[in-house]
Amino acid sequence: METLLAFKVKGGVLCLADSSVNHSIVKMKDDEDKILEIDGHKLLLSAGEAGDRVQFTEYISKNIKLYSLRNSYPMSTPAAANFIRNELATSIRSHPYSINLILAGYDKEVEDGGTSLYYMDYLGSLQKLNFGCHGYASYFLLGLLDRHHKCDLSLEDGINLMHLCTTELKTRFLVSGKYTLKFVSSEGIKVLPFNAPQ
Amino acid sequence: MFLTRSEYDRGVNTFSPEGRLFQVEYALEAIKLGIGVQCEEGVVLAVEKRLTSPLLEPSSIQKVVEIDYHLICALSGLVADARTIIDHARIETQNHRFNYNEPMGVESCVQSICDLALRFGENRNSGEERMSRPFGVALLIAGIDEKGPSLYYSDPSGTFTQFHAKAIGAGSEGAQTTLQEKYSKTLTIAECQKLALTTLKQVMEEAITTTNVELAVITKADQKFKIYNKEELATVIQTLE
Amino acid sequence: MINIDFDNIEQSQPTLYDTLASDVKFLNTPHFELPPNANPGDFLRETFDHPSAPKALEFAHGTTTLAFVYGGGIIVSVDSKSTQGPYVASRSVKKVIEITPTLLGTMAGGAADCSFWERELGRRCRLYELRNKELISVAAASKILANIVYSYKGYGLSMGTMITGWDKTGPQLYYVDNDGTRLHGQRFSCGSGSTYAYGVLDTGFKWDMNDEEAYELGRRAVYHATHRDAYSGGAINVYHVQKDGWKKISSDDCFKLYQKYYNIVPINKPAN
Repeated sequence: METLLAFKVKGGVLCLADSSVNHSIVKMKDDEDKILEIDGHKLLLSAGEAGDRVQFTEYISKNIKLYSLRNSYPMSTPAAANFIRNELATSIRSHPYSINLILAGYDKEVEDGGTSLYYMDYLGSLQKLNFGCHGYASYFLLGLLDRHHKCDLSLEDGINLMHLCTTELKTRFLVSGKYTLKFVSSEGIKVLPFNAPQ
Repeated sequence: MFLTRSEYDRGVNTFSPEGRLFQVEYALEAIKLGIGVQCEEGVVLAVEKRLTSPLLEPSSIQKVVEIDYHLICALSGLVADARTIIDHARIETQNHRFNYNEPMGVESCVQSICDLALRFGENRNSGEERMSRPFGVALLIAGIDEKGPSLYYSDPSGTFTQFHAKAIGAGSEGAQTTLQEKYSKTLTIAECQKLALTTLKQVMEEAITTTNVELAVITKADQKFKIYNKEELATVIQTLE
Repeated sequence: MINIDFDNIEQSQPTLYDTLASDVKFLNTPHFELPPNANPGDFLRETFDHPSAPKALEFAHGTTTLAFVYGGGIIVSVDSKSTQGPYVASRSVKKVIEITPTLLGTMAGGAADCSFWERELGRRCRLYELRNKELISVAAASKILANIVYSYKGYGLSMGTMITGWDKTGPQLYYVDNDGTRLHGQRFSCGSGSTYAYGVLDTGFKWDMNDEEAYELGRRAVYHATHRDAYSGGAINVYHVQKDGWKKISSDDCFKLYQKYYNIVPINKPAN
């Protein structure tokens, strides 16, 4: 019942994730940060099996950090996406990580204005998209985003679109709760205040 | 000591015709001064710290270390080797607590240290970590258990012996004689402290100060070790004159 | 260049000495021997799913444990009943595990799993303290436990535990369970009675209550859980964690609390 959502806007990528940790019917926590800041210009959204999520994302972020220390330049977002996909794909047959991911980042060298957004699932598939969504929420949001999303939205319009999405989830989706919103652009990562409709 | 260099001092696994292991004996030479005194009430350890330079930070040299709450150890010799032994002893005491939910006996702990001291040589089992030479450290291990306070001495040969009072390292012969003359089983813990420090003072080249000695005690009353800080050390040193 | 590995020239059968050596290694770092199988997790599952397989023993499966942080420190409150199915194995289990003089852990799930791994955690925390001349942080301690249980994920460990203590950063509370979850938070409850306990705990919680109110909240929350959850009961043990370490506050029998809270005189009270 977890929700991950990210889409490109002008100059950056907006990322939204729910912030609850549930155990069967119990909500253990409602302020969990599921958007990991890998380095100054990369966000990794993760959802999935308890334990796997933190272990895998920490493993990934430590390795990407190690790469930047060894080479004295950061790993690009496309390289990171392929690295993560490869880790998922090589572990699927022995010790699968049951987690779904979205990677968003900004690199000067990347075309289309430097922003990139990758969608990955636990089987090891990788897709470069303009907007991506994981979880049951995707049944409600993909249509909405097909209709309303444009890559040249201003940041403000983007945030409004995020509100539109969470309002829809509030109206039609069985579960809803609190969310975390982050924005990655050439200026780095910003945590944006986000009050979901109650 | 060994005027004629024989061919028998190269390997650690060859005895000389007189039945000696030279590498082990060389290791015994690498030892500095330390004194331990035990009585009914507890055990005292006193060690000289050689401050080779005035620019050296005295607190960075630690010659008395904690193994567990009820076990401490004064080390002399190669401090780097001692760290391996101390960590081994710490693991053993904690394993003992894990497995038996009780503090480890003093003799058991000394025994496990001496087991490690013998793990050197060339015939290594696969996966085993092993030193190529003997550990160059002698230890005075003070502890308390259900048998009361006790003091042990262990050397690089892996031998251990229990003592009421023991001096180790350079100049220890003179110190041991002094201890023999002055020791009595009826000493109090305060008298033990005094005896340890006066003996140390006799042998030391420099004057005794709060920075160049380290003093630690384990008392029956507390069942826990205590390493003296500067102020506490100063009050004990004052009583010496 | 040819590399000759002088250590592995002959690979012989393990001798008795080798077996003993591996036993010694076993003592050095506690771990479980796994079935010599390509996929131990699946192997175990198949073996124990078999109709004629022995029933797995699980003590302390039904439980209510809780811990919360408030202005005056941390309260840990637990019941003490241990059950195997309908059989009450014990009414006086110690479900608060005293990991070190400054760290507390709670027990829910497999009692053996919890006490074994929390003892191992205690051993590692003490070694950390000896090696680094500094007490371990609660964050680090809980991470050690989370990493251990994560490495055994899928092999059938059963534990839900709260790790609490007071370190340089103040009072800290972590929840760690057998699927590797590790959460930092203010209020946690674990076990079959946890939902009932949450009901009392969440509604009665105030950050600036005094110590007595906090003890009573912890006690009440577990008490109400024992009332509704058949697998929880016995006595309720309350611990308080403060800057200088933990302290056991009370141990009250549930029935005594029932009489106290409801003020009901037993029907069959002898007439005199």
